[in-house]
Amino acid sequence: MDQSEETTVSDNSFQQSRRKALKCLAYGGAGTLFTLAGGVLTPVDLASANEINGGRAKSGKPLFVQISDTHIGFKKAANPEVNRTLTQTIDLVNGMAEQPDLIIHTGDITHLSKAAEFDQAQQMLSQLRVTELHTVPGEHDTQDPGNGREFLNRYGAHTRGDGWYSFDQAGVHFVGLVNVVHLNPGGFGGLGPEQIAWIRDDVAHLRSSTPIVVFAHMPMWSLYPQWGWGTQDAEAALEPLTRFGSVTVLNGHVHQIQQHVEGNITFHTAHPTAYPQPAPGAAPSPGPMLVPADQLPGYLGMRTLNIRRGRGPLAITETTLA
Amino acid sequence: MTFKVKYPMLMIPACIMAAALGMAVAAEHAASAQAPHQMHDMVMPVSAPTGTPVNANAVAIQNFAFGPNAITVAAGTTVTWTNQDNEPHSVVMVDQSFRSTPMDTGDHFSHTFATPGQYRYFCGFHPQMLGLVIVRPRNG
Repeated sequence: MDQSEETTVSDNSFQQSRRKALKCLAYGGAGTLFTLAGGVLTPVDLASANEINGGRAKSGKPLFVQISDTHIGFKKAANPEVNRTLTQTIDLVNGMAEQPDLIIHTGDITHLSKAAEFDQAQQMLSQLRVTELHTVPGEHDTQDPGNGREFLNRYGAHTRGDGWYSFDQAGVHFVGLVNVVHLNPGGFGGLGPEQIAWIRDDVAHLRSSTPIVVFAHMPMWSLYPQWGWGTQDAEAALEPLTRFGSVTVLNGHVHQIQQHVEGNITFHTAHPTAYPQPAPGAAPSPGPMLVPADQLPGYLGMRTLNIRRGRGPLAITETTLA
Repeated sequence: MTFKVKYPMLMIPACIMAAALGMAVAAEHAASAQAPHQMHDMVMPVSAPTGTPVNANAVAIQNFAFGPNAITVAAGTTVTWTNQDNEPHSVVMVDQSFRSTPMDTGDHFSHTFATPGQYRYFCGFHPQMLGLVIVRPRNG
């Protein structure tokens, strides 16, 4: 990765010496490592983690990378070059020393659900060296007259209903959910009873020790109701997962990292690759946030998740384009 | 279900926000007896319940709100929505009778309301945005 001198820890303002910054680089990305032990989410700056764990080897092969909110078709001042920043993100992923098993895109692939936007996105995402791409739609992907048909025509082959599905990889059970079709007027996104019944059946046969990763576009907790940042029936949907020891819920939508813990379930929204949005309540309304051009890369990026055998929690690394 | 957070710098914003919002939402909800839609299985905020309906056939979308968010028109009137935001919006009827295509900045959408009644709608991108069209009989 060509991050050299400009590499800094992504969001968390940890002060690092240059030596540590370089070690951080050696690890494979600027960022913060999160471990979950006994329900305590503990961020450790990567340089320290590197020293403690003896480097990348013990952290294991990255299981997957999460990217989100690519908004292909967006052309406004907050980022007139969303194609370029997606390409930069793809280059970051392709530059990882060990390629992950798969990539998860948590929605808003396009800006206006246009066929040409989907086609452009598909062409760009096909540049990923990792060919296994999993995705669920964002509300920007379901505005076509078919209310999501353009998305399902491309990504819905092995899904049910509005595009929900599950799969297993490396002992982890992945559940992709769609919370942008059954919106609740006046409130949040929603999943609907059919999808919730399916979740219950889907995980019923799993051992409670199975690590679970849930991915969906809108936040699966009540992050900021005034801006509709939540999922109305998320609590009912996640109830069958409360018996599992490790549940990681990954969302997009809010174009910034926000986190939350409920019991054994940790929730993480992701950096976009397209443009930032204000922190909850920091502006009169959500929507594209204009930042100085030289600061924009610090608001955009991707997330790497590693599974560490025998340790349970997934290790999370945030990487920005800065 | 409570956890000690070792690094408050990272976790506190979300935690405090959740607690503060819980209270704010509860208060807002209590004050909104005229909440215009069905509540489901959790307490939901209602962003700007529709205000006093005004006679108008044009609705501007600004700052993630329909303005005016409640209008009255005679049957047969064509209502036009214009998106003045830097973000796309749409018009989706709560009863699913019709939905607009996405409106990007400066785009318009028009619909002619032939039948008297109350038509509640929301934004298909941002469900917190609500609006109401009251269609009165042509000579009413």
